Amino acid sequence: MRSLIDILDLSTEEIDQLMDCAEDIIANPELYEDKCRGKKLATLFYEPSTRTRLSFEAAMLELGGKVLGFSDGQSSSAAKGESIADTARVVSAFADIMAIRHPKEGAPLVAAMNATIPVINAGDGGHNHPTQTLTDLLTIRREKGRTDSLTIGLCGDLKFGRTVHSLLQAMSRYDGIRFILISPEELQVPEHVKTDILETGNLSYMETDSLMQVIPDLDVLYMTRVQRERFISEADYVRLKDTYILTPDKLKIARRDLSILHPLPRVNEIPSLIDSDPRACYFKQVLYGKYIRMALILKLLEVD
Amino acid sequence: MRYLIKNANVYTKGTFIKCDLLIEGGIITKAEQAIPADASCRVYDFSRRYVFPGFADVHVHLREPGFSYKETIKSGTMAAARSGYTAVCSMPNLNPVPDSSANLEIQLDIIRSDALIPVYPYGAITKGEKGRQLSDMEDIAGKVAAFSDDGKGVQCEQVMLEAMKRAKALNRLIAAHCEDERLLNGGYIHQGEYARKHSHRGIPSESEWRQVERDIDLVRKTGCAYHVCHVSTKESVELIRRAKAEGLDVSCETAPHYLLLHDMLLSDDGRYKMNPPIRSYEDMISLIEGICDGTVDMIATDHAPHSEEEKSGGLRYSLNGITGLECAFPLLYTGLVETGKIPLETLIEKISLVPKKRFTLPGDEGIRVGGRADITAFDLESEYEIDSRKFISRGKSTPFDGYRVKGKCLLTMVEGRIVWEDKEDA
Repeated sequence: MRSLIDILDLSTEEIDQLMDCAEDIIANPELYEDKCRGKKLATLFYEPSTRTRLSFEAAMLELGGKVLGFSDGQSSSAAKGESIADTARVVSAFADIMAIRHPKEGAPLVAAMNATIPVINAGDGGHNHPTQTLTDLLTIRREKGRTDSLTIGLCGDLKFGRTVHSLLQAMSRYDGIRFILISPEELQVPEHVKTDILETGNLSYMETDSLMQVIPDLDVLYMTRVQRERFISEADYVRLKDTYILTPDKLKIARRDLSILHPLPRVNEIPSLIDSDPRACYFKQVLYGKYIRMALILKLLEVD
Repeated sequence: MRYLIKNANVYTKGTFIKCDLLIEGGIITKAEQAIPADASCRVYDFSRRYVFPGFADVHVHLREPGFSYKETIKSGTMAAARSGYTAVCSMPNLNPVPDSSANLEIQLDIIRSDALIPVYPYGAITKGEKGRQLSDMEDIAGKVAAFSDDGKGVQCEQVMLEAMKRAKALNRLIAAHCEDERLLNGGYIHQGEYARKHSHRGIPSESEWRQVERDIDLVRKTGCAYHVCHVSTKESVELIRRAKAEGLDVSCETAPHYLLLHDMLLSDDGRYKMNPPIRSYEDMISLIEGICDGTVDMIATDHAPHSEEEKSGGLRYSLNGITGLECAFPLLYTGLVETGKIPLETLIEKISLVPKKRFTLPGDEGIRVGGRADITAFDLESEYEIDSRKFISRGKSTPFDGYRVKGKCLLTMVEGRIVWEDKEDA
């Protein structure tokens, strides 16, 4: 029995297989609508994350399975003081697989150690969010037709953005990847990520504070949300918008086949006018997220 | 009054030139570098700003007479002036419908007393826009920009054939709202992915292009000059492309919302409802291609204001139509020019010179010495969020509310008379 806690739990071959499976589901959804008949997915969401939870639930429903769970730690037994370990054991008796979201790093790992069913980490604190990373990888593969030999710009909050760190980690295992890290100085990729990921693999990277300067080179632009509380004043907005806001004029000098990704929700880093641009992939990305979760559920449940 | 505009990037003869403009007696009398100012001149320093030939919108609903709670000729032309327009053509779905000289006079009277910029009314093709009996086309031809039954398609082929013959004899354009009502199927948004997913009744693309196809055939028979209003589907674009290649006298317009939205960006809000509806992504892309290759001649807004209540019924129950004048240029500039889809020159041609030429409105040669001073000045660096509450138009419903755009209109002149001046920036 396998669980998915960290993206590194999967080899690149396994990730490729998951993506093959997701692409097959996209091509032939009718072949999969009964694959999980009689199976149940429990969604244990100790903090609200509507998008991720609904994506998991939609994935299981489209496989013909059923879902149960809670969407807020306050309404669960956790409010009465039950440990994660106990919850994991109890839920193992009710469901066939579980997805767990928790504000504390490591909580999904504790659940996996105590559950008798597969556990999927649906995000733990600022730590890991492997299904988002799988979503990003599938989006890149679908849009670019490959996962190697790409110049990938990551833009915005690269310090606190865990999706960015996971994506760096996952992409660093492919050949010919060049990262361009675009952020204001105060939101650069932390040193430990640089030493652990960027300076070990066979990849190249550069840091800049100007999206405008580097956008012509990019195959993929991964935008991230810069949280309101980090920049609040109009003065900061004006000062920093050239760094992390994808203003329409930047698209003029971007490649025609650029793919713009964003894990969503966005704030104002991508103006609405760009939503209809052929290069905008962030709404499609949401859809890919459901398909890759379907593939993952099938794999962990060992359904053929 | 004499005006001197200094240091502007002026669009003239198909290109931008940095120069000064002297405007006297409603005419541009000089266009050259470093024109000296004298005491009798009012001077505008438009360094880093742009001066365009005034825009012309051949498709607006000014709602008067008949529906002044939605818009008036006064409020509509003020909205147009503050957005860079120096001419608009007003659609005939009014009460009374301008289908006779007497009915048209009612509208012309209001235009004469209230319009801030020139308004060129359409005459109806059929009596009461009912599609049966032709209007008094001969009587009104001299006072109308063109003939149209906008808001409805002319369902009967025989009626359209007869209208085209007479329009041809009168040397007037037929501007057709193409919609085959037999194919509507009770729909109210585009029949596409969004309608399917959200269980809405969809309007098929065919309801538009079937009638475009029929009319092109009639143009082939009659030789009438023909214009398709608010093209929204890729099939229509292709039909018009072929008609042009064949040498037929056919033109068309589309609107900003068809170029910047597609049905997967809809939400269940009256702000997204108009007719024809926002179509699919493929339709949007083919319209942009049509703009680039010249198939789509011009961009009009289909400015169609309604009251707040009339737009509050979601996609199902709201009335068709959105307010368009006051965000058209900034949206098109930011969404199409800034992102590199079309050059600024193309945009200016499509919202100013081509419509003026096709509808024989004054000033189709653009900015030139000796020409009418119908101009507008823009600051293209000014960035802001569209806020419909600040619109002058009585219609506040637009899907683009809150969109961040660039391009602020600083000044609009009609025959050398100031009809809009941005006070904040003065």
